[in-house]
Amino acid sequence: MDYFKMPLTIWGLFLTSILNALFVPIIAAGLIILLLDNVAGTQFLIAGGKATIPGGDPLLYQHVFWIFGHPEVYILILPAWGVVSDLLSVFSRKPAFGYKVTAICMCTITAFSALVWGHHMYTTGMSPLLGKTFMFLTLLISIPSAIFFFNWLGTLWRGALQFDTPMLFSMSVMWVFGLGGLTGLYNATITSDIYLHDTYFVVGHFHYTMAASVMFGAFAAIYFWFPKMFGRQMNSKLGKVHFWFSFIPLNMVFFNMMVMGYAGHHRRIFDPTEYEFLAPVLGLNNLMTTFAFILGAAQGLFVLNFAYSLLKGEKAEQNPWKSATLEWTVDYPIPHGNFAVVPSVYNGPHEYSHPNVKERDWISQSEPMPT
Amino acid sequence: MQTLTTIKSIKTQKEDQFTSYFGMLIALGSFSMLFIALLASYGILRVRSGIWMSNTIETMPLTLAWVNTIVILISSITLFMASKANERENKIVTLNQIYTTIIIGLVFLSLQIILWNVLINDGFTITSHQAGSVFYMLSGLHGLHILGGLISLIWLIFKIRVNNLILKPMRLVSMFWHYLTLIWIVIFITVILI
Repeated sequence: MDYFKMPLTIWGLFLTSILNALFVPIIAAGLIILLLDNVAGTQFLIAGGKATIPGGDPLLYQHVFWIFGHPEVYILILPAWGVVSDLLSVFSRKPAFGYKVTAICMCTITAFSALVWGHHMYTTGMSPLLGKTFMFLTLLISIPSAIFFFNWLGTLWRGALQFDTPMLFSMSVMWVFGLGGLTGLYNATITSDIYLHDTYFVVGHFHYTMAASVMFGAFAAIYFWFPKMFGRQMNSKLGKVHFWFSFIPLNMVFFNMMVMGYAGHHRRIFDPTEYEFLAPVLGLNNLMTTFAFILGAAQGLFVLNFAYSLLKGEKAEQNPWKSATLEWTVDYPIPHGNFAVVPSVYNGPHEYSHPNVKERDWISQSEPMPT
Repeated sequence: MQTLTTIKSIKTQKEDQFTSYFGMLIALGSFSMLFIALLASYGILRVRSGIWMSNTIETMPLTLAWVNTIVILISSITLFMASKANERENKIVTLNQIYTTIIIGLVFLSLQIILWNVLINDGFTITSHQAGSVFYMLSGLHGLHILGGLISLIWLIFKIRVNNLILKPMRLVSMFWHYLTLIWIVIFITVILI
């Protein structure tokens, strides 16, 4: 196994762990400062009238927080990207389009993620020059993101799509992440962000890009690897019902949230009925609440499906999705140490519909390619 | 067949060594990010507060700080000699040098406490100036890490006494110790000297 034969899921987890090791200590530093301010009486973050010694700066905490906070969203999303990249290939029965480029783009984004924290702070009174720099770097990230998004589309293009539950969730990640990414451009640009800052638009954007993508990516992964983990299939009908009752309400909640934010609805107001300019969009607020409850209740279906499949699910075969990666060569229950002999890897992780392979449309990574 | 298995085991041993080495590098990267974040905060606070250590206290005990720096450098040298002795598989010298390192490390910590006391008696406390807050935070955090380093050195001694072949832990612990020396020198130069 060399780096460019690793499944993209593993690439995602690999990059996530690097980011995790490097950026969690930053929040630790922030918390040390905060702790000393609260316990030891230092004034790192205190300025103005309350400060008895000069030099403290509350903005310092915001910087430290976002130096950690921005890479943190990539810590969460990179595994989801990897899972989606792999699953789209499995359920399109063709190799992942631009596999190496996707992996390199993920690395590029990982590196860039450390340089863009200032885009959370355009309205904090930071130097405009610094703001422009952060805007430029943030918009630069959209290039690798767009590249691997087009790679996902390229994977789907003329594939033999199979709409199993993991595939539905993977494709929904494409939808929510695509929409979240596009609305991110408005937040990244200073001119529009000064208007949109601290409105529901930001909340909607965040939930599309990060929360929904990660949640749907996690569901895709659970539905996909459940047979490997527990030896049983998850119920596919219930899974599809769960999917539609998650996907539609989620869009109804967060799309409307973005609309309301664009109308000027602030994130943190106690009673929106007090404001005249919000009167036209208050109906959307009710709609959002209703669908948010539906979205929450729908997750009960998942819990039900999980528990039912764990106990009474259909027994799964060794490789139910006809997937090429190594984990599917192991029997259930997985023995200690996973592999009795370290397997040799001959092919890339997505060898589907290869013309040299007759009688079936996939070949495992550990089988030599027939010539 | 025999040679093949030996080659294989040497190969896995090397891979294992590389993995632990690489893991330690990442861990040190983690520690570095912590200190980098705090040193960056120090930079901002220093620029904003305008006054610093050199012009807050009249009699900065620079000599004591220099002695402390030299002490920790010596501890790094003795630990380096321990690694060399370990490579030559000289168990007694290795153990002796590690004992010396531990004692010098304790001396460093005691000198640090003396330095703190001298400064506090001069009216330079954690709440008196931003310079004080930063100095006590950074040196305190570094001291805690030194304590961790001492514990791992003690662990190393137990490890060596039980079995002889301890290349890997010796290397990892000394990486950590030398790293702490480096961090102290950075703190000494940026916070105390400049």
